[in-house]
Amino acid sequence: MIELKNLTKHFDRICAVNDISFNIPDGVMFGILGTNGAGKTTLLRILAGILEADSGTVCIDGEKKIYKRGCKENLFFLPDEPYYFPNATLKEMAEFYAGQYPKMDKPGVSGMAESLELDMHRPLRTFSKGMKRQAFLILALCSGTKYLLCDEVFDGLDPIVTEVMKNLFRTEMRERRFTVVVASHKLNDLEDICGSIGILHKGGLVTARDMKESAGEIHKYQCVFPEGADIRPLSVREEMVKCTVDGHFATLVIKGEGQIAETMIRTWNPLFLKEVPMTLEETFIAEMEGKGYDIRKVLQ
Amino acid sequence: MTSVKCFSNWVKEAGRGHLCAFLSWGILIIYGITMLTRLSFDTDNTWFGIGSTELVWICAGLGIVLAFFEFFYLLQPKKQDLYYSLPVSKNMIFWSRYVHGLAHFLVPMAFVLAVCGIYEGSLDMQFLKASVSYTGKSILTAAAVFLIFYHLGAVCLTVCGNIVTAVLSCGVLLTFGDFFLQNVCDVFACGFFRTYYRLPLVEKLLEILSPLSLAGRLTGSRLYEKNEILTFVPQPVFVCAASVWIGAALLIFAFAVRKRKTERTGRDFVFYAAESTAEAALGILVGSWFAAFLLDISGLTRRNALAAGILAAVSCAAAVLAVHCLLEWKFQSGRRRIFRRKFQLAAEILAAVCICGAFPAGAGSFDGYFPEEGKTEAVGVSIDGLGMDYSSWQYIIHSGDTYQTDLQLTEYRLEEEGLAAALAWIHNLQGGRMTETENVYTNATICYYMKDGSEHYRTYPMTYADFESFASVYETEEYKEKAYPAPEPDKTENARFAWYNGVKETDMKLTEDEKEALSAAYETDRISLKMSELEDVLPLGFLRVDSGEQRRAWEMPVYPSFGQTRGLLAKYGVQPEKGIQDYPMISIEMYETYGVPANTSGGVSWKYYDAPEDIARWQPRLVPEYFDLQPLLCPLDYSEVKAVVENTDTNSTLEVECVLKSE
Repeated sequence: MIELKNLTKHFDRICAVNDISFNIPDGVMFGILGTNGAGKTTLLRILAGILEADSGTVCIDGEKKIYKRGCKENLFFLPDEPYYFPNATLKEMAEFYAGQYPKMDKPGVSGMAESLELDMHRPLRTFSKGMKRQAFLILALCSGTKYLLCDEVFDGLDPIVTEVMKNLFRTEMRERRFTVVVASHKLNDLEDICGSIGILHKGGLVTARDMKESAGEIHKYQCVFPEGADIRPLSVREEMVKCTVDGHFATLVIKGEGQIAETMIRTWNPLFLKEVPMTLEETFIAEMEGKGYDIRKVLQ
Repeated sequence: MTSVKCFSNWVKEAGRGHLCAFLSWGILIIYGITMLTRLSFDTDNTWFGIGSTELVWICAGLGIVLAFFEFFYLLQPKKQDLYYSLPVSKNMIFWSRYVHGLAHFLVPMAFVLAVCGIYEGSLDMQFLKASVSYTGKSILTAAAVFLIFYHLGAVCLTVCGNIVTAVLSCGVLLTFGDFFLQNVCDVFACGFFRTYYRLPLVEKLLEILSPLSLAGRLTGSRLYEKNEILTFVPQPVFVCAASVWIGAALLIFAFAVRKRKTERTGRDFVFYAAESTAEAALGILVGSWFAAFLLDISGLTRRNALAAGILAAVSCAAAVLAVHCLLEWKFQSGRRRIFRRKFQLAAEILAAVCICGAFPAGAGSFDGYFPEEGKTEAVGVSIDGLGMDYSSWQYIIHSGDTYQTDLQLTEYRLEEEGLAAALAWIHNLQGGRMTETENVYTNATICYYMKDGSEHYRTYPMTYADFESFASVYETEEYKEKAYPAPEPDKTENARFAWYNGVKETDMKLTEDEKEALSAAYETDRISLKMSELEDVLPLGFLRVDSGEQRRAWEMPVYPSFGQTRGLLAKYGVQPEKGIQDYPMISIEMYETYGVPANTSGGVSWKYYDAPEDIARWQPRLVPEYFDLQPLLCPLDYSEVKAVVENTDTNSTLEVECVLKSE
């Protein structure tokens, strides 16, 4: 488990990470969301041991000295624009990483590269941006580390390859207790793969929690009310997160247990009532707005 | 992975791309091949190690370049993200690269020099005896030079955040000492000290504080004699200086690499302390240089020392302020706070003003220096125009050349009776120190050789009366021994004697007794020589004595007053009175130069005389240029004249370079 406690990092007068504390449990894919400059990359670089925090602690599996080799052998950092040696091929990079990570699965790299139709012997500099991203994702997945830190992980990948890569992640996570921390500014990239999400805004942590838990507590209903029905008392109830009314048609987002929420709506005798699934974005927008944040600004 | 294995893996990793290996091995092998080729032609003047300027440049250049190649990753954020995220410590990455760079210089260098040593040893028996020590010393000194520059490069890369600042810092580090001492200290000293000639302390500092000069001193690059080069050992002070450079740089970059913050890559400096140091160093350097420059071009120091001092302080403070603000602006981005280091700025200005003020403040003490009694071991005296030819004198006056003066200060080193006379004369000279430059007749340069090993140089302007009073020194036996050196009479048995009258040299076939008698007569005549005599007369010729030993030859001018010498010369078959006027003359060519407007050709007139009446007119005025020994005492007309005379002994002609006696 990765534990962050009161982590703060300044770049001169700019506070990039401001007193952040949260835990990343093992075996999950943890998404870090935030706009540009929110502190996502800084946070990942601190976790990877590239930067040192000004204050606070990072604890990985109980080890506070995360710069120790033993600790770092369990950690692979994949930056937004990974470095590769001039003229290096995927095979050479795999060999380089194999020299650093004892559990590196070199045959695995070949297998995945073959399945993604990447030439192991072609210089990486001749790869397109998406191909490079695939190549490094393969290296990251095959490094055999317990933790993988990825910055803008699916950036530059086409939708098909994104799905393929997500499947690879899922498979890998299923097969071993593999923890992935993914930073992104696109909620869509993370919504169908991340188990937990942390949202950063201007260096501070807005929220960090389990998505299923969040999704379980918030429900969205589409309803049609009879003519003349006054649903204003309903819309101002404490449990109501959001209420959008368009004539007879209303969309309600209600916090709490589903059964109770449904009963509450039925007291207004809706002509039609149906619970619809919520996207991750909606869940978080609802939750954030419920907490008083204008989350659209955070995630724009 | 054990640490050792990991380290060796990273040393191998540092060699990725093989750029350092290619460069270092390539250059050193080319150097080796060139040296082997040169050695195959000439082993007397070819030096592959100590004495080789090329090797110094290669060591220095490779030191800087390899440091930049090895540690360039410190300026690359993407590469640092890769390296620092790997399960390896930052220190291991750095030190493995350090060892890699070191190995890729030391191994090929030692190999190439060893091969050259073996090769030269097989060709040259004289070298063979010293081959092991010479090669060993060469390897050590080359390694020391490399280490100085390699470490300086490493300091720049670890302290700076981008390549531009790293390169500039490297340039500043390499030239700072040189620039400060030559363009600030020397200029101030020259401006404010009226008796300034040279400052040995500044010269020593220059050799120590300038890495390139130090490299030259470590590797004997100023030596040309084979024996000197083969037996050369760097002076302890330079070995210590090199150790300090290497050690200090090592401490700085070892500390810097531990404390370096990755996020500051891309900034000018990764440490605030480095920013402050750069500001202080550049501010003080530029401030004091600007003041020195202004004083130099204004010439104010000679006219009004107080005004010059004030101008120096004000201009220096302004320049420090400007540099400080400029650098503060450069080091910051966004909302800049130019005066965030107010106290540092004040300290910089104070330091620079102190540097500028130290020279005018110390001028009185410098100019009035006279050694305490009993502390002087010797005094070297050189008077411009005395005991040197006209062209050397003019060279001193017009280009400030110091070669001839330095030579005389060494040759005319008075330790016995001459010392007392010289000190008394200098004391009088100081007492009536001149302030009006119009009355300057010539300049005397003095070197006080102190018993503690130090040297103090002063130059005093002299009036004609001062010059006349120099006779008290000139006429001491010790001074004349230095001015008119002659072999000891009892050590001339194997020497070769010849007489040179300015036209031709005549060998003298003398017995051992005759040689001894002639040498003794010269010594006697020399004692009775008066300085005032030299105002009217030129030498009749030169008695040349070659002992047969290396560097033991004497050129002894014989003046008309040297009665005993002349008598013996005549007795031994030489006609001492026979000069150029007594030879049949075929022609005279005269070149005269005159001023012409800029970008205009001409300026030289050439006249050729071969008519008997012309020759008769000019021949009495001809003086062989070789006889021009005392341009101050006995000035001549220094037109360029070539006389062609007939050598009746061999029925041939001789061309003699001449000047003219004054009309």
